[in-house]
Amino acid sequence: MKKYTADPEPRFRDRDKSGALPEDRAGALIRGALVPAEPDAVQLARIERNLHARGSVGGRSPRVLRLGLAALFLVLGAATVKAYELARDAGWLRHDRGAVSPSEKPGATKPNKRSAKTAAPARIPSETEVPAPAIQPLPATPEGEPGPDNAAPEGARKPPRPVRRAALAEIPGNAATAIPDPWQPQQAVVPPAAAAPIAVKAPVLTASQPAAAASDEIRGLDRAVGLLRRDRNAAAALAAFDSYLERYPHGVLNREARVARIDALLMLQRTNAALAALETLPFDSGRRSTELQVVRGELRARGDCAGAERDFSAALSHTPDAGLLERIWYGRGVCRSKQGNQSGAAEDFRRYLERFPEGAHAAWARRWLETTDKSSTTGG
Amino acid sequence: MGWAHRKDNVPDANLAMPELPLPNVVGAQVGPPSFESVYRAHGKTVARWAIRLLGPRGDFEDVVQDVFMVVRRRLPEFRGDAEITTWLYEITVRVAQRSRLRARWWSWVTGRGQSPGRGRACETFVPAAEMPSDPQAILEARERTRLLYQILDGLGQAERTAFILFEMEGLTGEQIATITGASINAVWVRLSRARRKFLDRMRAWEAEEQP
Repeated sequence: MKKYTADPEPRFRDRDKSGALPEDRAGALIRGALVPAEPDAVQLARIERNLHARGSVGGRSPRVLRLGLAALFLVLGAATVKAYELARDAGWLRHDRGAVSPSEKPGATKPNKRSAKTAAPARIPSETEVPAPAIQPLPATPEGEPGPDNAAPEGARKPPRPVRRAALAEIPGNAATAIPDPWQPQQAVVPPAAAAPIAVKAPVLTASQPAAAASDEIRGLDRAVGLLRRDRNAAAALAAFDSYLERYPHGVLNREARVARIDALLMLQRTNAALAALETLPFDSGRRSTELQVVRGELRARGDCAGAERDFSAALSHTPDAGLLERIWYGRGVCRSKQGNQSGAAEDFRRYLERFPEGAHAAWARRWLETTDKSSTTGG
Repeated sequence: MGWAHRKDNVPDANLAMPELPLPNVVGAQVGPPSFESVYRAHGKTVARWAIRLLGPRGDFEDVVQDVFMVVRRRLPEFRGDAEITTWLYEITVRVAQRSRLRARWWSWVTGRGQSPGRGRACETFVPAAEMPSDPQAILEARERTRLLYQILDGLGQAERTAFILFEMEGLTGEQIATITGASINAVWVRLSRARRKFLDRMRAWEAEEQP
């Protein structure tokens, strides 16, 4: 299969404006079309109002509605089947049985599938079979005594079975698995001596048990994360995370739980506990991991500036995004300055200002650089 | 830089080193932003995307509303692994596709669709900045827009989306792959088919128009 690695061709709209090729004409069509307008404040306000209105109703999830609909269809289906069975038992559908099928009529050549099913007993006689009687007025039968009216429907359902069983039994290798016929006198089933032993697989227990445990574990963590993210209840979430980590110390979601627990600790302003938790967390080069390393640097900066600087520098080597970069340069600059490395701090603050001239700490960094420069020229 | 590595050289007494702000992980950086802030910041952009994806016949307000219903439901799960705009774009594309399917189904059931120029939909497209603003030019541009989306309506859902995102929105293949959840290879295949079908339909229209 052909692999595409880059944009295959220039866009239609970037093609030659004076060209006559179909691609050029397509480009002209796209270029000449109108562009989407931004909605005005009235439209946005209307949408927001509708959103609030829909939210106040309860914001019922479409998933709930879908489940409700599925349940409704299931109930309707089951009710239809039950109604059919009741109608059949009540005899309302009995007129179908024993009716003369088209294939039995003189001149009929093509048997109908449906009538063939109902009229099967008449065409496949067997030793146990009572032929289905033709419809005719019957004399009254004493209750409990098997009369033609009671026997015919039973007989009409039973006969095909011996035929199928016999056919099954004739298949080589099926003798051992042949089902005993309840309509035949019971015989002792003796397995043939030469029959190969049937290999029965031992039940596999590895699939269900760990799956159930994993689902328990996921449920436990999901509840804790819900408390933190949805309910914003950090204290309850922290208790839930602690309980989870105690219960599943080596769970598959252990790292996720530990990271979310740190969020809960920070939400509760328990910075020392958060730092302690971060000290034991391994980092990789992922975005989330880099962010946690920056967080650790910011927490360490309060007492251990050298450690904080190491964290910021390590995070910087993982090509962080703009949000993290801003925090890293500012944080490392402050830490370097606190350690007396003013040139390093100045370098960080300059980089910060180049990239984030309107950043949250830009005014402060600018003022620091100005006064530092002044001081260095007068003092040095 | 004569003051390098000299602790006593912090120049301004009033400019003492600040304490670093607490890493407000849950509130600001890592935790999801509030629904209101997302709507205020991105409502207009989502509306513009919806208009682009639906064309002049679509009701963008419905789509924007549905998009933000999804956002409200799923915002607590947003972990910031991707840019929020990418996340919103992904939701908008899906909701717009569903809306088009619903419209098509409704048109099939009722036997009549919306007329191309009905309702407020035409007002959602405006001339680009570099276009002339005389009424004649605007009328022609509107006609071209209608034709463009008429041709696009003949494309399959995935192909149409790939075409709009690449040719009209100017996204790259990687971005389209992220938004649509497809592999980059699948995106190029869809785009290639979409372009071929687009040109075929455009030629057919031109053949009909020319005497």
